Amino acid sequence: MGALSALYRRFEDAVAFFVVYIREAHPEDGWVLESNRDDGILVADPQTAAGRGEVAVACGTRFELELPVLIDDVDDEVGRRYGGWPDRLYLIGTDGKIAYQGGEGPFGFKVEELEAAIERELVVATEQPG
Amino acid sequence: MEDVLSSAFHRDLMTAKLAPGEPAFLFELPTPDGDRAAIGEFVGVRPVALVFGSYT
Repeated sequence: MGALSALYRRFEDAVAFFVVYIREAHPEDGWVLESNRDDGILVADPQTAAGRGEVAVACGTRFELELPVLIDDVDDEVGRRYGGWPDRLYLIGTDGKIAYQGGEGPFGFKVEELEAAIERELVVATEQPG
Repeated sequence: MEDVLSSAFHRDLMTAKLAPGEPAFLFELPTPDGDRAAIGEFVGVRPVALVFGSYT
């Protein structure tokens, strides 16, 4: 999350950032990754809104995440609409339209692409007042 | 459990129902503090960056 934190610090005054905490990618009750276990990350997929909240807090603390966090409902409505699982980046332009849609994570999760999209969007917003 | 990637349930979670240039889906969700935040309050004012992900 280091690159994301750096991006957040660079643009936090100009861009509204939100982490949307969604369904676990590699829970202990699903597709387990040994690398997570090696790092001491053992999480069962939360089945309730309160449970998701607890894991989201633990996640933010562990990764020293500065970005504001929102917690998707257990029906996964927002994550499903955005195709956000297991992880994905988006930028919504000031016109309310999707300005950047990152690739499917983890291989399509490219912070540098989001950064370039933000730079483009801020130029556009400057050139088109109102 | 690698077969989760081929399950219809997870494929649906991975498939975006939005494309670049289309209006964003606006939503309101809870924060860890117990408040709620609506991204619609920011759209139109400044760009909104969304980072979807989980702990694992």
